[in-house]
Amino acid sequence: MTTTSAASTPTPAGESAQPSVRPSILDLIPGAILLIVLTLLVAEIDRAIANAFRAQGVAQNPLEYPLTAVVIGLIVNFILRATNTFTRVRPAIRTEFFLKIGLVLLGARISLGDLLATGAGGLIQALIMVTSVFFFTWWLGGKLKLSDTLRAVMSSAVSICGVAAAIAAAGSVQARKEEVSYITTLVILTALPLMVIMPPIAQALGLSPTVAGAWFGGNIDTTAAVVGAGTIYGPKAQEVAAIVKGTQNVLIGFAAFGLALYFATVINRGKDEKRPSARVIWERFPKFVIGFVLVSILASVGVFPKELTREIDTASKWLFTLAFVCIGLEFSLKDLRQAGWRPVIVYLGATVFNTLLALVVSYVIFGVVFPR
Amino acid sequence: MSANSSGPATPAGSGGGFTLSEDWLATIIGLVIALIIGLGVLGPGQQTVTLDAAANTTASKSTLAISGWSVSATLAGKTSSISAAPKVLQAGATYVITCENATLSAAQATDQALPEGVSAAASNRAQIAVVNKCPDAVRVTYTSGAAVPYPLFRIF
Repeated sequence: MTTTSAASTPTPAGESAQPSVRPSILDLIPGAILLIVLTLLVAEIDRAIANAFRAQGVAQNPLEYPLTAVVIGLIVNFILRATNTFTRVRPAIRTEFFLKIGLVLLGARISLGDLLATGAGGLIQALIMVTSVFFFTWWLGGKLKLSDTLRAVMSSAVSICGVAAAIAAAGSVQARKEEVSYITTLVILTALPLMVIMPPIAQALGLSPTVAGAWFGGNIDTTAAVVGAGTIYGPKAQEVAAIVKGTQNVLIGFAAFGLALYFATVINRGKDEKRPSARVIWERFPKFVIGFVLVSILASVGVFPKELTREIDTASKWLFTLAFVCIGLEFSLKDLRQAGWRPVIVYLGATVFNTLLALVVSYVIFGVVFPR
Repeated sequence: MSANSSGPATPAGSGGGFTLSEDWLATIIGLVIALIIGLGVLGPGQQTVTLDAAANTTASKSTLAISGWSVSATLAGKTSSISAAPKVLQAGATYVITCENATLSAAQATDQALPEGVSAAASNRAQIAVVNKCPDAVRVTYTSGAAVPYPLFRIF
């Protein structure tokens, strides 16, 4: 079995900036071995760090495993690129794929009641955030004279869920592949620092784990970094962040449909564009959300005993570690250098807007309207 | 079977195989892992049985009849060893840990010689009883390994 995930080709709007050529099993072996070794290494280092802190009387390891994994990935990324061996492991680097499996497994830890309660607030937050941030980014991109396709891809990435939304939007508006890889780099470049700095800021602001999780989920662009920030803040924040982000992800399909319709009827009017069908919504719907909900239901109704849901949770951590290592491995500044400063300004401006708005909205929804 | 990045799982045209999106593939793999672990195919998961017996009382609990238990105990809050503590619990058996003269010792009990207040173990489970004849509280903890044994380390 082989998999591909869009990256270089925007047309089949898929999930992540992964290799566009369908790799064979043999192509996957070197990278898979490297990923397994690095993941084991991360766990060993994480354990050693935790023991070192414990020896100093600090019970909780402040350097959570997502950080360790990303740093290890970045170091190996640098070595691989310096030795021109990166392409040999590239086919196995599949951040979104590992992350989605991990998220399905995470469902075991979240009760159906929590899922519905958080999901309801998450949906309200997602609708407010996606609409506001999308149109703000679109407006700002227009002010700085970005192309319509780049504005569409960027607005979707900032407002919904980073890479996956960027690729979905790119498919809808026929953006160039360079625009997708450029946005992908920007997404990762901003998501990593946010993953690291948002938890201490939330701590300094005295946010509850629920509000903090909702803030991470509503603001950080990549699902991996959202889960990472939540993990750093604590288990409850991780749960809420994952649910809020998952709810936001569900809107990808609607955004892709809306964009396709807008470009067909307004931007490209008279260019023999076909009108999109509502099927786009289902095609872009993140299917892993179904798995996440199913596992949550199975755990909630007692099909999985409590002892075993802990084991499923441990399995999800393994998958998340794989995803975080991949984030470090796939990071590249090359596309960013080529694109110039104006898109960077728009993206950073939109991210600041997103961060502040998400803080207010998550506080109001999860701190005032649905306090938990 | 091949998979592309998105879209529905659809039968390909003539000559083609079956195409599965990465999204569906991740979902299916996640569900399969959850079912394999969650339904206990790999093992019953980590078990912890804690028995607290105040001075001159008896406590008992039923648990899974499995091997690989690690046992620990405290007497008056201080770590204490149990002589002959069973690490393999047999189905239908009752194991009695007795505290006497500030010493903990374990033995398998027969149905005819069960301590007072302790019923026989169910045929498919094991039973642990703590008979505390000491003037201080006794805590005995039985812990088994995880469902998935990680050979190198216990992650996170």
